[in-house]
Amino acid sequence: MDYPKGLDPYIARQHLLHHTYSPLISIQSSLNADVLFQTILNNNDISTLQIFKPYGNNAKYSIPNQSFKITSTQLITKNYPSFPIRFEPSLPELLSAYNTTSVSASNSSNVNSSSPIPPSITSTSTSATSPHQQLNQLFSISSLEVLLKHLSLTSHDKELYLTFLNKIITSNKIVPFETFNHPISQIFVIDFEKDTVENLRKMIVDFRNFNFPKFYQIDDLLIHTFILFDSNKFSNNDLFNFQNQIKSMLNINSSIIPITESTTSDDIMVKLSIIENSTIEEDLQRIALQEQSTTNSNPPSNFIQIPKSIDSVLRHRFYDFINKYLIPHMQSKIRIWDDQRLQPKKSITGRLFSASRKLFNNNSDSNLSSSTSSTSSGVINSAVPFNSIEHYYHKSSSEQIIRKLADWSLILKDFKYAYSTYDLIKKDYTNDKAWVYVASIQEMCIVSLLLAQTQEGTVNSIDKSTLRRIRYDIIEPYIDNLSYTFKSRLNIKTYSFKTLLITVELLLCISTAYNVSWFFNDMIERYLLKLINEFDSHLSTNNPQAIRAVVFERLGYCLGKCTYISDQYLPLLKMDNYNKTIITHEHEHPKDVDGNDVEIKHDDNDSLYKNPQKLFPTTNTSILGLTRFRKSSLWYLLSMKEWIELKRIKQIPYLLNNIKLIYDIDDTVIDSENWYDRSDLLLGFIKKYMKESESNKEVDNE
Amino acid sequence: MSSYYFTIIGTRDNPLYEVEFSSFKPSSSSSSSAISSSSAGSNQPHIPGKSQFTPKVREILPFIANSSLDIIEDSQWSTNQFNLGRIDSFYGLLVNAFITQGNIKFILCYDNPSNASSSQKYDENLIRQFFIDVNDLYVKCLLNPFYSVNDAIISSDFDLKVKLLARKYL
Repeated sequence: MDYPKGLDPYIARQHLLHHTYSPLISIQSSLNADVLFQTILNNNDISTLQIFKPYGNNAKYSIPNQSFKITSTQLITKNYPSFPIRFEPSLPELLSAYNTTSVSASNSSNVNSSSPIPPSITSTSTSATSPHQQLNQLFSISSLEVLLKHLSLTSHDKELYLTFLNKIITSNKIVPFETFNHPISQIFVIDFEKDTVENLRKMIVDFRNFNFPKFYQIDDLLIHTFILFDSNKFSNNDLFNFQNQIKSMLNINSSIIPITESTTSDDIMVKLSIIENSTIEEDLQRIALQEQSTTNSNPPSNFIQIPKSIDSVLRHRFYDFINKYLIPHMQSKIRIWDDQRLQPKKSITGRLFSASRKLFNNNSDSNLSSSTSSTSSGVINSAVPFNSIEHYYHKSSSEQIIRKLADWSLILKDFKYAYSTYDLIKKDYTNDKAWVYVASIQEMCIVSLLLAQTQEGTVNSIDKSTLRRIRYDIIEPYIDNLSYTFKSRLNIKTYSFKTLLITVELLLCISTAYNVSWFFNDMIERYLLKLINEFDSHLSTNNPQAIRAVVFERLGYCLGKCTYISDQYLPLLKMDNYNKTIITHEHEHPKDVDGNDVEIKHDDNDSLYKNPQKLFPTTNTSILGLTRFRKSSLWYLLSMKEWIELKRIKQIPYLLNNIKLIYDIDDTVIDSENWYDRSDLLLGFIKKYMKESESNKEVDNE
Repeated sequence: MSSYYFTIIGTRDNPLYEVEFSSFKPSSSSSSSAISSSSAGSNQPHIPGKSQFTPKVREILPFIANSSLDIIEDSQWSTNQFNLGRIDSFYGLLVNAFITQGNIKFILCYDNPSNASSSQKYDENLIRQFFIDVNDLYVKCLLNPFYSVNDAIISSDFDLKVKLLARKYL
């Protein structure tokens, strides 16, 4: 039964894989390449990155018959219909824009650095007072609230919750303790006509000389070049020579992108959204710009027009790049790390070594870590490679590499392998007291476990002992632990919000996949309530909030989807059954207008006498108490209340539709017969408000 | 001091009777729960027995009672007691329920008593007694030939007696 309506958790899962657990490709384009695109598209504000960005979502911008072949570490090859990637600015830009505090952790030992070094940490007050460096929040709660309030003016239905989810899970913040936002590949985009190999070499040298943070391993980066050229002016032969030259001089692979200026005006244009995968701050900036420029001539649009020919070339080239270079690169790296780092760790000697380290080296923890931060080089050789002041493991330490190995195998959809790897490395982090890593790995344990369980092609049923293990041994203790770490130890509670939300969505997935909502429902409800309380503690409790409204809506959805009915009786849940129930209810004691009982007239054929004084059994007795529709309606009502207080009524018709099973909503006449329509109660108030706003609209139209 | 919302719900999820009141007992400590502490009437003289739910809570109380029917219908099969005890909680409001032989539900929503841990058991017993006595009253009401099941109970005697019971137990 498709009631209540809301975002399908599997779509949420898909978005999660797309926006969070997908390879990040950083793009650096030469000025000439940008200019080339600008002249062709006749748009002076566009950059190469903006054009490339939407194509990262190759589920949406696909080519016919695309399939991405991924071989796991067990040498099992699987084909996937899509393998989204994220195009982001180059690493130095990402770091300077967001991680001013953590980047400066890497003190300027690199004298060759030609790029500007971000402002030093010593200027901030936190470093002066405490020896530990303050980590940054994942996102700003108030910005999210502002954004949601703004979006609620235009978007509605389930889109709003999806946007809320997307904004929380989308981030391009580079942090040491997870590597999903560490670029896997760096692409240089150059123009064949105006750029030379020497230009390219200079770009690469500049890039390499950047003072990268100590936790980031530049050697794992796949460097690639895209060469733009005008196919009318140059032949493929010229390009071939140029590519060979690049290969021989710089040892870098390259792909060519033929770009033709459309000579005919009737070339079909394709509309691209340039707001794919944008973060909260980016959205707010864009909205502010649009609002400013409404007074001016043309406000910046959310869409660009691109000729069909270029569109198709780009799609094919990115497909080739992913299949030929990106996936093989990731696979080979995973295999090397597996061989060199993971297997020795799993072996007997590895275990003995770690045990001895734990036994004999524990006392000198603090000394070592403090000394490592002062001497910038000797981190690797020390017994504890974790820098507890700046919260990172050195890039060459096994801990950092194995984390990356697990992250990459998760990106390549090998969830079981990822889970076992996360589980293995967790102990080391705990021993080193690397709390932020522990919390992050706990999150990933939950995520990889649930992703593995909800993957297509897994078994159709799940036994109770597995469920119990998932819940009581993994999810509950880990969530408690990581919430404590993120909130109290490190004061970065927004990370725990993300975890809570992701866990809730994946639990919903597993609930629908195996019909086990009865087992997880109270947990989902508790986590969502916890989320609301956390948001409340940041924003003002008394004022209405868009965030609260959206989370209430999700709570309503979760409870509405919760059933305690076993598989074979699920058809009982048909909407028709429910409708009948309502009808029987209405006819139980038919009343006339004055409220007097009416005698039920029987057909002559009907031989059975029905006593009108008797209570008739309801048709839904078979599922009595096995659903939570009434509870779900209560949350929807509360969500509507928030929207009404915010004076955003666009969302309300959709929410009203989700309570129609319990309360009669079509009845616009405020009817004293129904208890819930009383004017002193919430639903009566909502109906009245909607009626007034409708009549106001009509007056305005007239 | 706790505030209470008591309702009797018929077989068609329709409320038959509802009343709000607060505890008549002198409050042992001034610290009150989150819901009643924010009530506006802090500088007004307190009227004994007057409930102190805020308007925000008051407008959803019947809905809270209605939503707990889901849990009542579920838990009624797992026990042979009429008193179902504390079955639900919603934003600091606790919900106790009692089901009669005729499938009529008594629901009592109340905010957290200040000294919850010590007198919890005691409170539960009192609420059970209250329910049992209200059930007596309800059965007497059913005996009235002019009353049929699922009709609203509008008798002022019934109302008065329920309030007396509330005063006695809660």
